[in-house]
Amino acid sequence: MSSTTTNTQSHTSSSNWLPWFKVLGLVYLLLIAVSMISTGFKVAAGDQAKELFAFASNPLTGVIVGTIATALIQSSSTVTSIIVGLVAGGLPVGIAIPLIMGANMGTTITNTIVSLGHVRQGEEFRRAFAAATVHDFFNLFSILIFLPLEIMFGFLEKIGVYLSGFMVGGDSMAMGGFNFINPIVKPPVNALKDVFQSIGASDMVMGIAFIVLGITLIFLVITAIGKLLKVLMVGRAKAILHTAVGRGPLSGILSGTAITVLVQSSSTTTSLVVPLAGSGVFSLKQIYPFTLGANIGTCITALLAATAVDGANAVFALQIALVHISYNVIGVAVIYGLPFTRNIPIYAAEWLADLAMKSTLYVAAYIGLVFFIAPVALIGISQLMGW
Amino acid sequence: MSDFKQRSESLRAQITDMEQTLGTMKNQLQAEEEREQHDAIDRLEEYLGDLENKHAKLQDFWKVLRTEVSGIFSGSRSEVGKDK
Repeated sequence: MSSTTTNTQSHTSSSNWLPWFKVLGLVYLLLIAVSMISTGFKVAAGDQAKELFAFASNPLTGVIVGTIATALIQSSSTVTSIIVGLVAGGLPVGIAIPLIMGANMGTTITNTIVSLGHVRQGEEFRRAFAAATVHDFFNLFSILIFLPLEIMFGFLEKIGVYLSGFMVGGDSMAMGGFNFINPIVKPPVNALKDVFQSIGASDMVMGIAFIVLGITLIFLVITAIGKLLKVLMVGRAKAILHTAVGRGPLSGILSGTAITVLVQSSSTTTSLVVPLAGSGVFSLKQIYPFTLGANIGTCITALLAATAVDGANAVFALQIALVHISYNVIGVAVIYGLPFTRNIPIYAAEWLADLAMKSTLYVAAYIGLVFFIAPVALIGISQLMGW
Repeated sequence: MSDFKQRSESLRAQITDMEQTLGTMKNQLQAEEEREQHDAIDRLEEYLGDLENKHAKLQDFWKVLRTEVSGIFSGSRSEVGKDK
């Protein structure tokens, strides 16, 4: 009897640990994938990395590319991890910053799609759609404020340089505290390199293959991590939400951040609140700070990705990850912190939701225009005008 | 005590009573809302499961949109018919 109990206990404890081992394995694969992209980009582009991304050197194009790529993949964590890998491979941080801003915008399409599920529910749809689009308008507003400032003063890049210098003490990342990750990430990447070299693949072929494999791996890994963590963390997420009830906006922001860190996906966090708002149990004002927290929490993935990078560009990978977090924290501090800007995203979301109640054509026009048509048209115009 | 003083004191007492009642009702409302919110949070698994059906949500929205667009066109056609 007692041996049966012991067996059952050990089986239960191993089955408890198994998903966590899976998460650890997936994080390891994520780090390998980021390292593959940076290696592939270095090998394929060499010193030409800047020229290769010349098309995105116009900041507006960068934002648009980031928006469309994230809207299509529906994962800002995937896109920001790829951007970190590209920066580690030689993409200038200045070009990557607008891409990061675009990734923030593109990820908002997921909760908007989730809100469409309420389309036949009248008033419930109005509330759900407003809860989804308040995130869109916040991110759009954030780009409108900070992109011109970045173009004029490069303040985010400067913050990234300052913070990364502060974290690695001005030394190269190889000497920084992050380096414990590198020795475990490099061997499989080097082994794959050897395989390509043994079959006589040219640097260009190997580089492109590394980039494609890296991007595919990041996408698959982040999807799998998201699915696993959703199941593993639902209890913790509930506990955090229960604690945040009735405690004001700062608690909302912190709980949104914490849940996004736990589930590693801002779109999961922002989509979760759509039905909560749709049912009318939570007001738009209560939901809004929570979605802002999701913006901050999602930055953890890029920071994690930056730990996989070594060499001279490692500090730039850390810089772009720190720019991502600074941009989102400053965005929340400025837009939500100032009373006269705080409610602009709420008014815009309510206005759009009222239109959506009148006709679904407004909804289709909004999604098509903001995420696809306007970005493509703007890229075309900027290329034609030679901006 | 003058009539005015008596009336104003009685009104003040009524206002205090009403403010107390209002405060109690506000607290009751807040407690009620928070209870509902906790209940909704307890159903988080349902909402998580629901996130997997994005494709179905888009399809459903597409149906509603198509019906609305065809309604607009059939409406404009019948308007044209009326003109004739």
